[in-house]
Amino acid sequence: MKRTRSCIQLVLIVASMTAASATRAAEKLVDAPIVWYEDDRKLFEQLPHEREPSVAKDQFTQSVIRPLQRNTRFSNVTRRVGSLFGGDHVMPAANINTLGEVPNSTWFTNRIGLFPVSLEDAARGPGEGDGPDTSGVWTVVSAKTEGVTPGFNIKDPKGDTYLIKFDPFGYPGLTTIPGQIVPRIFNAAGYNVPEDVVVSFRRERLVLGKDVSIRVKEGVNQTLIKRKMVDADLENILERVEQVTPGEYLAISSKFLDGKPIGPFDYKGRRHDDPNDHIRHEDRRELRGLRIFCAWLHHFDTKQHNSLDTFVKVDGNKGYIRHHLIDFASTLGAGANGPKAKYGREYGVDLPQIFGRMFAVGLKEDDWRRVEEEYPADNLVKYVGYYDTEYFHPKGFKSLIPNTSFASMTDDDGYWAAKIISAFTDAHLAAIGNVPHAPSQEAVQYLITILAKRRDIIAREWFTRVPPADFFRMEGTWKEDEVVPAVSSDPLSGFVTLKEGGVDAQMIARDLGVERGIWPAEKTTWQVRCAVVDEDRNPEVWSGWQKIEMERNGHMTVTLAEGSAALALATAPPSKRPFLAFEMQVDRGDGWSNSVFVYAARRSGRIVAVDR
Amino acid sequence: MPYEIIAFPFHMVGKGLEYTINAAEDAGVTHFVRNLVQRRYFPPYTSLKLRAGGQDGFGATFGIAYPELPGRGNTVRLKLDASTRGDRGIGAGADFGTLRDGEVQFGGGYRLRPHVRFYGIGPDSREQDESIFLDEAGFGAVSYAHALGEAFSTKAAVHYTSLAARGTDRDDKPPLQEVFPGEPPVGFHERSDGVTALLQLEHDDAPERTRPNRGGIQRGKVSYFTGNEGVRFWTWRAEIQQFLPLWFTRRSLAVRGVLSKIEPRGDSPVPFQRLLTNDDPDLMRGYKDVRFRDLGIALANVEYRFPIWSLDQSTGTGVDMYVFDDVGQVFSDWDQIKTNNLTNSYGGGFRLGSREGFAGRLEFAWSEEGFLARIAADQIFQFDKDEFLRGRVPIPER
Repeated sequence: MKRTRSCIQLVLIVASMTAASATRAAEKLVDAPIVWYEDDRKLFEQLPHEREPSVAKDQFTQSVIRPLQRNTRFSNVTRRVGSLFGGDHVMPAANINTLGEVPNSTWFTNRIGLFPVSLEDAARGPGEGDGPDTSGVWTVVSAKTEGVTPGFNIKDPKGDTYLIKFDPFGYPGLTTIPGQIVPRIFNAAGYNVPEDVVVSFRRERLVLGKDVSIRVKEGVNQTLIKRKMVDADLENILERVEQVTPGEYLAISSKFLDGKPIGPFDYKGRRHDDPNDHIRHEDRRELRGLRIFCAWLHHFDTKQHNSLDTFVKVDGNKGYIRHHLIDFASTLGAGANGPKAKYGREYGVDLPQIFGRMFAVGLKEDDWRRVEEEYPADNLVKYVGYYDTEYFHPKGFKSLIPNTSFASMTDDDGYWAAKIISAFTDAHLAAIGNVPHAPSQEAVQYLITILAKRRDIIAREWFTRVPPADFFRMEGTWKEDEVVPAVSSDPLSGFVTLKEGGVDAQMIARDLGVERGIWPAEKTTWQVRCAVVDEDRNPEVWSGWQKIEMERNGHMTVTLAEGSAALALATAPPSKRPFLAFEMQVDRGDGWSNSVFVYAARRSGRIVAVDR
Repeated sequence: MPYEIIAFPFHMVGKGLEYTINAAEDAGVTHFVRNLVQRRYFPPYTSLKLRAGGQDGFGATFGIAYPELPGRGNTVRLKLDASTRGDRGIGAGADFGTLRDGEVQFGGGYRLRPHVRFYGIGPDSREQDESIFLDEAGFGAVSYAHALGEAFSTKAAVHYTSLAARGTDRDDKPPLQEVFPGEPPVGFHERSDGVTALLQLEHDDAPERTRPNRGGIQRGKVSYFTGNEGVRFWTWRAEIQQFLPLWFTRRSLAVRGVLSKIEPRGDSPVPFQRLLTNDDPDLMRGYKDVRFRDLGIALANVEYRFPIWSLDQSTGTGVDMYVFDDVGQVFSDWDQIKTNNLTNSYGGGFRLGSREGFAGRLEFAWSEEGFLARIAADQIFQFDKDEFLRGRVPIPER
């Protein structure tokens, strides 16, 4: 008994220590420029092998093996216990800078999350935004008859190659419209995606290329064989496709990516034949946070086969690998074989859900079954599938098969994604949703409306979990010498100001919750306290809490020459405590939130780190 | 660390699975299985049905159908059946559509079961009197079914059946002649041949077979048998099934009641192998198949069904769970129907549905005689009544 109690105590101690270490960043504070670029474009010559993982194996591995391994590893279990004490269930993301941002890399490029993006740029997407050249015929160079929906590859008069894919029969625009909207959103967010454009064409535009082969099922046994493609095969494909008007077909055209395709990337581990791939994929913030984007966009089919690495040659045979997300047919409520309410709300085989239903003996209803029951009455389902807000839970989103990176997501990763998502304004969404060929403009408007509502739900969820003070910067003059400045105190209010010294600076921050319309400024109060700290974040002494002035647009200012900052600066010289720490909390009517810590260097006046 | 001791086997299972799946992938096994699942190696119109429980051992039925000979919709079927207990069977049948919503069916078959149980006759037969005998059956049949509107239909049929029950000693259980040495049942060591004529009226407004939650089936049937040794009897049967929707999607209550009775005519007693018994679909699921035999059977089955997994939508492929209770008994006259004679069995199971319809069930049942697990490709509700023309022996008549 005593031995058991000792073991439990040991686990709890380890867990709480783990929690503490995971909560605070372990890196020392350094007065140095922030890292904004990940050095993962070093050229190498050895062409990586093409990965061709089997779909069945991947599904089994992701659904059974990896969850089993995740939940039986000692360090994971300890961290899970530690999460009861305020830590995270995994280590923090490994590819972030000291501000918690993701540096630009071959995986991700900061765009709308950090910089203004014009409506035109958002609407244009990753390429020119025009799709295949329509000045001449399109030559069919290969075809696909397997799978749920047929399709083929074409070369346009410019020589560019495109994949042409159609909607499932009976659902005009169901996959093609999201197929254009979603990659534009991902592009504006910062992910690498192909140039996908909705196109409308007639049969006359297509000609069959020479010696094109096709794989078809033939004979009584429906054996799959490969043979030369003929015009009848093309007619056969088009017969299985709905015509928006007689003789007119609607499709999504996806331009082939630059570089040589070398297969998908795995959401776990590293690509060992890529010398630039130093960080385990499940530890990359952009892949962890992708879960929140997928929840927003209802992008449930995130198996690794819907990603693609390409080897981009730059100097002769030398090049580097770039990582892309591809195939967005199963998004915004759509599904490649028609809308399915279950997808996005449950894994394909979700054992906890299954056992839960067994124990509940049918007395609890699933959200997706409610959706399936209620929505068919709405004619829009034909065009947009099951895309809703009523049963939308941002944390409850599940991809079709479990995803290791998604399972590793922390609140900080979620906040990072929510910050980018909330940067899309209604005007951005309207510009991105401008799809001229859409069979139902009403459906497009519905999608845009739901996108905006889901954006706000996500922002509210994550900005509640993590206080959304962000975009910190210093303004003004800040020159301290080694003499600790004196302070004077107002005898009536007790408010203090620096008597002398060269500190005439302010720390500026933005409350994204107010700025982006999630909460009103009138019901929001921020408080701050300050301390001068050493490189290990050890404070001299914390000042008392002080309310922060905030404008109606959410912009906040903390003046260093007065109040808690002045008190803190007066406690130790820069040589002893070279950094000024701000601890900030917000109250929106339900008590004070967790803290955000901001660190500024007293020598350079630079913001050097943010801990959440 | 105690945790590591507990987690070690789980972790090793995970690692083992990972290595196994990688090896299977490298060896092309997963590719082969995928192709198999996609039916690329199966000829079209074939089926394989597995079963276990009820009778001892494992059984399988392979069926092949050709639905376009001699005309579209007309179907020829062949069925082969075998089990690990030595059961062998073959059957063939054909359906032909006629004008005005009618269908003619022909069928015939032969079945040999070397280890069929016998416990005695009547509701008070004892479990410890379990014995076995060899059962041999051959039949030929023709029927005409006619739709009377959307839900009503009627059917007339004529069967010729030939049954034999013989002793056997090829088993670890005692043969019938040893357990009942002085009083073997009527028909043992004899052959019973005869012709049955039947008429059935049915109302079926539950067309969905996988997860019905509305409608039901009401069926009345009467038949007359005349055979060798002057054996003659009437059999009548009333059956009602109803499916009731409950609080949420696809939660349903299925109830079923069956009452059937043989009325002998003349002086010759009914051979025991033609008596009514607890066999598909009239199961008392906590008891072994053919546990009870007599001139009559009364049975009630209740199932509460709820979904636990769906492939992608509420309908179509998925697994439902159910809990059930079966109450029933056999009897020779009405006075024997009493609570003391009623059997009760209860349990639960899983129903597998596919896009094509009901695919099978895995069931666990308990009764005062113990526990029984069962795997079957059919169900006691909405039992495939045309099955006999695809090789199923139509004895006893249901």
